[in-house]
Order: sequence, then C-alpha cells, then structure tokens
Amino acid sequence: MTAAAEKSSGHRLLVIDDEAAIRRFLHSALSSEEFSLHEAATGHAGLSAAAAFRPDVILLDLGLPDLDGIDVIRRIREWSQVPIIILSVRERESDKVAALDAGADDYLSKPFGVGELLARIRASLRRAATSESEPVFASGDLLVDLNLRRVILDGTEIQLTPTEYDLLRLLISHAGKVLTHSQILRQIWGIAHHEQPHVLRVTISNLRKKIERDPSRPKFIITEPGVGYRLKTAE
Amino acid sequence: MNLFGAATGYIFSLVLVVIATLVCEVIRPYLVPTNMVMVYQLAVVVAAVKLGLRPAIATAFLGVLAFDFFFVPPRFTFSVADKEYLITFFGLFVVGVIISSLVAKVREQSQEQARLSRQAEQARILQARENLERALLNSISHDLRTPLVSITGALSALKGEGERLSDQARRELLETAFDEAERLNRFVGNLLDMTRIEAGAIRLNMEPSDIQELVGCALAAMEKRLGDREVTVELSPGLPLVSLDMVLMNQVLVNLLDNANKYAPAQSPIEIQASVREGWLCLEVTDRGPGVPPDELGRLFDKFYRIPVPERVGGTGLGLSICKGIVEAHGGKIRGENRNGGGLRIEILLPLTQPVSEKP
Repeated sequence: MTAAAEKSSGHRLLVIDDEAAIRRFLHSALSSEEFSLHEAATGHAGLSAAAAFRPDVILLDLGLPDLDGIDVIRRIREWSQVPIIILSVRERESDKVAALDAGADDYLSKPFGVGELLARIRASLRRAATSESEPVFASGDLLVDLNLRRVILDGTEIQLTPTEYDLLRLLISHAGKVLTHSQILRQIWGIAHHEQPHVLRVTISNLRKKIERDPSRPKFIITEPGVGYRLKTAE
Repeated sequence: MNLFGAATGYIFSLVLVVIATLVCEVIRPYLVPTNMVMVYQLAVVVAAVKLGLRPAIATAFLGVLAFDFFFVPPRFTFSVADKEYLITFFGLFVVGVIISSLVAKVREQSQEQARLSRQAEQARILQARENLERALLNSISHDLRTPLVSITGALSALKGEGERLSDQARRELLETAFDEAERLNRFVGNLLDMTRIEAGAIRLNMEPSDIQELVGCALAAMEKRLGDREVTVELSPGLPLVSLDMVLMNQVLVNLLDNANKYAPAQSPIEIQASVREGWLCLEVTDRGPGVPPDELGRLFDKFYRIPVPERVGGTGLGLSICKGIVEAHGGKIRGENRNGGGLRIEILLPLTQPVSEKP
C-alpha cells in the first residue's frame, strides 16, 4: 500500500501512549479501511504529531513519561478543537474530571473493549462533523423536539420545569459525551461546582423520575460515578 | 547526654548522703553513732536500686566521710578519737560496695530478662505476620494464576490450533479468555482497594448523593453479571441526599451484589432496600443464598474469609472486608445476619449527621 493510498483511507487517529503493548493492540484493533493510525510514545512526540498529522481524533493516555496528560490537552486546545478521548486507568476519577474540564471530550477506563472504543470514536467524529445539533433527538421511547421545546415519552408529552428542560437540552447537545458536574453547573446555573453540589443531584433525580421508566435503572441519563453524566444514545 | 546522665547519678548520691546526714542529726540524741551507720547503709541500698553500681559506691564512700565528719567524736573533724571507728568505717564501706554490686547485678538480670521476653514477643508477632503473609500470598497467587491459566490456555489453543477448531469451539475459547480476563481485572482492582484501605490511603470525596442514583450505578455495573436475575429495589419515599463518596460506595454495593449473585441460587431474587432510621441511612442487600454459619458471622468481614459451601465459588474473600473498610471510613457501620427462611442480609448504616441544606 502506498503512502498516498494510506492517507486517503478513512479518518485519521492519533494514539499517544507510552505502553508499546497498548499501541500494538490499538494498531491491530483500529487499523482498517475506516481508520488510519499514527502512534506517539511521548507527550512531546504526540504534540508534534497532532500538528503534523492533523488527526480527526486523538486517543491520549494520561500517564505519559515526559508531560502531564492535562498539559498535552491544554496545549492542543490552544490551537485545535480536535476530539480528544482519554484512556485512563480505573479509580483516578479526579484525573478524568481534570482532563474533561481541561477540554478533553471523553474518557475510557482501561481495560476497555474495542466495541466501546469504536463507539466513542464514532460518536466524537459525528459530534465534530455536525457543529449544529439536530433539532430532534430520538433515543428509544424518548423524543425531544428542541425547536418546539417538546419532550415526548412513549407517545405521551412530558412536562418539565425550565431547569429540567435546560439540563436535558444540554445533555442532548452533547449526546454520548460525558459532562462533568462543574461543566453542567456552570452552564445551567452559572455557578462553580463547590457552591451548590446538591442542586444538580436533585434536578437529575427529578428529571429521571419523569423520563426514565425505572429511575433505579436509568436508560437515558447515565451516571459516571465521581465524574459526571452522559446521555446515552441509541447505537 | 551520657556525661550529663552520669553526673546526675553522682549528684543524687550526694543528695542521698545529705538526707541521711540530716536524719542522723535528728536521731543523734537517742542513738550512739555506730547505729547511725544503718541510715547510711539504707542510703547506699537506695542508690544501688535507683542509680546503679557506681553512684552506690560513691554513696558508700561519701557516707563514710560524712559519718566521720559529723558524728564521730571529735565532731566536725576528720580525725578519729576511738580507733574502733576505723573498723566501722571499713565495714560501712565494704558492706555498701557488696550491696551495691549485688543490687546492680539483680537489676541487670531483670533488665536482660525483660529484653529477652520482649524479643520473644516480637519474634512471635513476626511469625504470626509471616504466617498471615504466606496465607495471603498463597491465596493471591492462586487467584491470579487461575484466570491466567485459562486465558493462556484458550489463547494458545486459538493461536496454534485455530484452523482445526470448529466455529463454536473458537467462540467458546474466546469467551473463556475474555471472561477470565475480566475476572482478573476485578481481582487486581480488589487487591488495590484492599491495599489502599490497609495503608489508610483512601481519601473520601464526599458529596451530597442521591441514593437511587447510587443504586442505579451499582446495578449498571453489575448488569452483565446479574443477567436476568430478579433484583427488587425498595427505596423509602423522600430519602434525603446523603453525604458520601459515590465511587467508593458504588464499589461497596457492587461487591455486595456480586456476593449475593455468586452464592444465591440462580432463580432467587436479590433485594435492595434503603430507609432512614434514627439519624442513619440504612442500606440493605438481602439474598436467598446459604447464609453464614451462626458462629462464623463474626468473621464475615475478615480478610480472606469465605463461607464454607460445598461447590467452590470463585472469589477472593476480599470483597466484604473492602466494604467494611469503605463503610467505616464513612463513619458508618456494616453487619451481616441470617434471614428467616434462609439467606443473608447485609446492613449498612451511614450517618446523616451533616444534613444537606435544601435551598430553593
């Protein structure tokens, strides 16, 4: 395969991870006609590759030998809005929150399945392609018409308070992506997270009672413990 | 420091001799001088017991001088009129030295004995710890290796014999490898949690939390493992937000559900209940499993404890001790009891001491 042919194939992915075994596994799992893969083993190499290779999505490991992953995100965000998906080990929720707040788009906890990774990559590509969100959101029984401000569950219109509606609309406009607690609080209530942590919990709880069939087993608004919320989209 | 310590001993010898002299002065009208020797002898014994050999000898020597100077006629001179007193001096000094060395020896022996018994105690503790660590290591290496054996075996079969195998066999091998890898991941996670709890390194990120959301997260994490098992959720209406660490408490619920799922018969339901009871949030997970032998209920939360069941159920024996560590870090309590009609009820109590202010 020639370089030109390789370039023309599909979306460009940049993997920044210092673990050779993980790069190798990602290479096998993701190299296909859909994606062409570029790899970097350090933060600095990743930053140069982001500028030279112009990837459509970046997969970034937070634990790099030379640079803090958060710094890598900030420096990329100085000039690019390319979707960044964090690959992070379990139980470092504070790292994930910091990465998302610094401008990362999503995260996956290691170890992860390739199916989940592909879904996140495709969702990021879709969001990047359509800056304007669709006027109608549909997932399962739930239908939200953002133009008419109507929420319909299983054919029946649901009445939401203005705050509940704003929260649902915010989640819909970032469907499939994690929003941290502080991102939601700032956008809906215009306050910092530490000021009113409970208003978000109460509003989510009320919203779930209205749109979820069983609020103890939510199907739309998914909690990412210690991080934030994600609106699940029908894949 | 040593010098200072030694000097202190001699200063105390001098003080003892001064005290003995004062006592002798008080009793002088009633006694002949020879009997005062007993008072100085007493000072020597005290010095030997409290101060050690050298200060005791110094006390004996100073005692002889003081006795001579203050009480042997002619008084307030070191000259001696009656030469018999020289024998008294000699006796006082020699007996003083003998007492000193005897007492010092006894003191040394008892110190030595205390040291030996301390060493024996330390050796015993060390041995107990080594036994525990060996048991721990055995358990860990077994639990680490078992899934690795399955994974390596399945993958090597696919790598070497892949073409000869039927589609179904290949699929089964892949599923085995995948399930076992997930099990290994959970086990490593448990070990990390346990290590963190034991090191006192868990930092709680307390946030006002919705109990229904907590239950929802645990059920979502357990979705695949629970399969189609019935799980009923019963939450008292109007539960308050509870200040807790969502990630860690989620881990607690997942561990409890995982246990119930592993030990209870496949068709039996698992129940989750939450209510408020006298200033505590009460969270319960109950199952219809074999329960725990009553005399072993106290060991339920011990590390590496597993209930005795005929068929070996895979597990690390760490899940419940992790739960206990996390709940106690929250200032809460956890206990288990057998249910009427069979099964186990685990009850968690979390303090509601910091009610979340409800603002409009």
